[in-house]
Amino acid sequence: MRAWKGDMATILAIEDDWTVRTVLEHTLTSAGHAVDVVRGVSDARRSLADGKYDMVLLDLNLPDGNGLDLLRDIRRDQGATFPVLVLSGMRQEEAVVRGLELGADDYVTKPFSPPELLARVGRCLGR
Amino acid sequence: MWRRYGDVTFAIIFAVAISLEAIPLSFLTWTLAARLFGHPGGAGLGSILLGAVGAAAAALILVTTYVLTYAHMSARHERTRAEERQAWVGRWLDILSGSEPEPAGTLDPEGVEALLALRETLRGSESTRIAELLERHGAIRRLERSAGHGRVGGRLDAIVALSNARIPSALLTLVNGVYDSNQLISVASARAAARTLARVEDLFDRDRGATALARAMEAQELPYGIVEEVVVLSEHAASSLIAVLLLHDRPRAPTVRAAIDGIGRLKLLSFAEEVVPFLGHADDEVRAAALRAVSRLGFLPESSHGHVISALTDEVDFIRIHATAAARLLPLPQALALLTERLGDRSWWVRRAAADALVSLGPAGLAHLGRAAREHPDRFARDMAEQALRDQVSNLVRAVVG
Amino acid sequence: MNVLEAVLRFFEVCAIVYFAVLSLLYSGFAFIGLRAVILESRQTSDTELRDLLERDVFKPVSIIVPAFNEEGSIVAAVRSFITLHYPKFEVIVVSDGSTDGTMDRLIEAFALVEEPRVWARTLPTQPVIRVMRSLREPGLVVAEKENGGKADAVNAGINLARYPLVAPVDSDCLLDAQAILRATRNFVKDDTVIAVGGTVRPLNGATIVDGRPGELHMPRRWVERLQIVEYARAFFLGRAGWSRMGALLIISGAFGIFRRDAVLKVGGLWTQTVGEDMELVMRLHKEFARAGLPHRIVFSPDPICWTEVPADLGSLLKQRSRWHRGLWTNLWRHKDMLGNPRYGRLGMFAVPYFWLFEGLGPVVEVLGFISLLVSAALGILDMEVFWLFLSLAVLHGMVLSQVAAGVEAMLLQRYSSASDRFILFAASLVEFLGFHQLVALERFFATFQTGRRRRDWGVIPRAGIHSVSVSGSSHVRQHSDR
Repeated sequence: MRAWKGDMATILAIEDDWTVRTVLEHTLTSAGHAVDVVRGVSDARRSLADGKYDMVLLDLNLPDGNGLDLLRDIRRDQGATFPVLVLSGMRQEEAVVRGLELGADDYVTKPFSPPELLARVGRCLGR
Repeated sequence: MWRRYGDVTFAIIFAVAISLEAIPLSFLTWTLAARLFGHPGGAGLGSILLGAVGAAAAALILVTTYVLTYAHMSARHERTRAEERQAWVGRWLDILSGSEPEPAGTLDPEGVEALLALRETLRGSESTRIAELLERHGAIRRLERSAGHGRVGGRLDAIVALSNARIPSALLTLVNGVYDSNQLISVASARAAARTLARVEDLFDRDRGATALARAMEAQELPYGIVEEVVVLSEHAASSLIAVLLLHDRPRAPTVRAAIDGIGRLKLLSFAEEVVPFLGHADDEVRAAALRAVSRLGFLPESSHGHVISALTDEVDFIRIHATAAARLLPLPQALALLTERLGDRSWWVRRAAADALVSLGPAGLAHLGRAAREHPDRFARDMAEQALRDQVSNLVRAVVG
Repeated sequence: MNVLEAVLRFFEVCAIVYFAVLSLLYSGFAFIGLRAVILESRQTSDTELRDLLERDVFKPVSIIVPAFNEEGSIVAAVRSFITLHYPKFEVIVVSDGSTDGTMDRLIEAFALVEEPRVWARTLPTQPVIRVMRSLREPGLVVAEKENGGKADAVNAGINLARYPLVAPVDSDCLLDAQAILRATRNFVKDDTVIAVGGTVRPLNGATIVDGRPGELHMPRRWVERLQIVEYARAFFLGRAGWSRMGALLIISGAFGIFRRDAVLKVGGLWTQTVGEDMELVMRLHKEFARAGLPHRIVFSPDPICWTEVPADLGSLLKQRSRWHRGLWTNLWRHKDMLGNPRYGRLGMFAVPYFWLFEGLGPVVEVLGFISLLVSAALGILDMEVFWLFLSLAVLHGMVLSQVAAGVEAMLLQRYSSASDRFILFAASLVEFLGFHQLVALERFFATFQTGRRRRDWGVIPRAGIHSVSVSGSSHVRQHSDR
């Protein structure tokens, strides 16, 4: 993993919805970050294996599995320390708590506000 | 999952193909049946069959040409549309951020689709502005029109689009849709209305909308599952909706169940007292729903204790199951005693529920389970207590092994 | 000689009328089916599915996976089930007296530990030896029992099930990630629905990515290609049509979802037939109709289950023979439904149709061929009529196959390359040049073996759930193999 220097970060967004994907790309790129977007758990694992991300944005309901399982693997098995922000439509208390317990740094529910997301991403990166 | 275009054309083509085939086949059947009963005559068998073969060949060419063309064209069509939609999303984001001017005139379908998708994705001021854009460009008016008229497929598409748009001004159209005689339209409209109701800010409008929607659902006798979904989908408006549903004079049992389940699911504590009378309702399902609701609320009003305790020995198995789960909320010593007794219930499911409830009571419950595993007079109760304790151990192990 | 000639002529006319009536009926069903698929395809929107997942409105499901000697595939299968897209479900694997390493593989892969478990033994089954739980996957339960056949294994799974809906799934199937979510919608939308069947599609030729079918390609052999066309026709046109008419008789054993209380009410699956899936549906219809309870059993084209179909002719014929024997056993067991107005459209229409066209179809067909041969030998065969009739039958079959291929083309996940589309077209032609006739012959023989091999049934299940077909394939029965 590369250390995050300054304002620009390389971010991996794991998201299956095309609109959210486009919005994330648009928002993060215009804020000066570099973004890779993948659609599912298995693609995410492959990208993470290359291991050059400063941060991960993670959706929970993915077409080929549950984002929480991926999160657990990232944190427990790979011991990764980069920040993970969960971006999900699951808004029940249990889901949020579970996400945070498994090692997410922040939890944003959909629908979301791009400026707020940017601010949270910035805070996660600043840690 | 499905391509939602070209299907109606396909159905029409198939209908034409069937008719082409059906005419000579019917003629064939008729002639041969007549012959069997000794009425020879009509055209020769050979020429009728020739006609049938010709018709079938024409039908085959028609259908195959359509299918192959469709498969070919749709792939290209979708690629272009997806690109256009994506471009529109980017463009709308720029427009929202003020770096690009708003387009003039009527929007193309991809532009509307992108806007609807954004409305679902974004929150806050952007979302409000998207709603304004949708209305200003006439998209909502057009959708409302197609939701009310035309083929079922087209209407459903428009209703789903409105359900994504969640524009309060369309609420009335959607509520009217609930009255439709086609159940598909009715159910889709109810869901869309609920999603829209969740975005109605004005309290007065919200109550009025909730009343209209509740009336429509009652009039159409929508099934329990749908009413429950509508209650949950209406979010902040759920309280108004539940109040209307429960106050409706002589509400249907499925409606009452759905409303009460909604109270539990959305944890609407302010309704806790309202649930109590239903704990003694004549309908088993309603009684069960009321028990489930207090259980989910995690709070038993004083006045409900008697109901819960008597439900513990109800004739009906599933009532005892829900009552057992709710009994954990009784004052602790009473809960422990009653649950330990339920461990010996004749139904396996009640025994299981009693064990789970005892586990949820923490150390005191576990201690009672442990004692029951050794000393309970009922063999099945001892087994169940032991099982529940074992589950606890394996859960612990799982947490450690990960 | 004159008598024989008269008999042959008479039979010829009967056969043509039979064919014409069947063709007309089937085209009618196909049209109804197509319309049903079109409506259904617009019913469940993505927004709706997302709402369900995000807001906790769903019915929990117990997936039941009977397994017999599947050491090679069981771990992958279970893994694909536990990663399904559904908020609350459990997977219950029932090893039906497997004699290979099925249990060992499972224990190893999922860290299973034995659990002296207490559960309600509502349905009688062969004794369950042990129940195991996974230390890794909270929703996984594995039971090992003494051999009793597939139906017995499913019954044991139903006993263990915790949730109100049960979904028996073949262990060699892959479920679409949203299959359960889409199937359970039907129970929510209508309280009277007691069972839902989904579409079964052949997996052969598909690339599999992380336990899910990815891109679809035509398999190499014609035997497999033909089945792709057959399955599409049977599910998208046949079952959709029957379901729309409220007279669905079959939910394939490869994948269906049932209300647990309904299955318990009728006493679970019957273990004495090789067609237990159809038998259960017939019995549900019957018992609910008798008790005067409103009920619906529906087919939904959206939930998709992928299955490996036999890749060689021998296994395929064995499978079809088994299906046909199952069909006759079930029709015979429920013969009182035939023409019985008490069972509505089912008794007056669906069951008679199955007797006349599904059950007896191969018999009429084979007898027709024999009479043709005799006529030809006697020199009284009207060659013109013969060729015209043959062309008509082939063309009509092809039209229906093409319509089914058209429905397939409307699915987002379809055979997309131009050459694959062309092969689908060619397959519908090839099917009638020998393949269809061979299958008819096998089913013809099966018709007459139903009684005799009934006595063997005590043995057949013991031979194992999947050993009947070499590729370890499905228990799917099609609506029509015409």
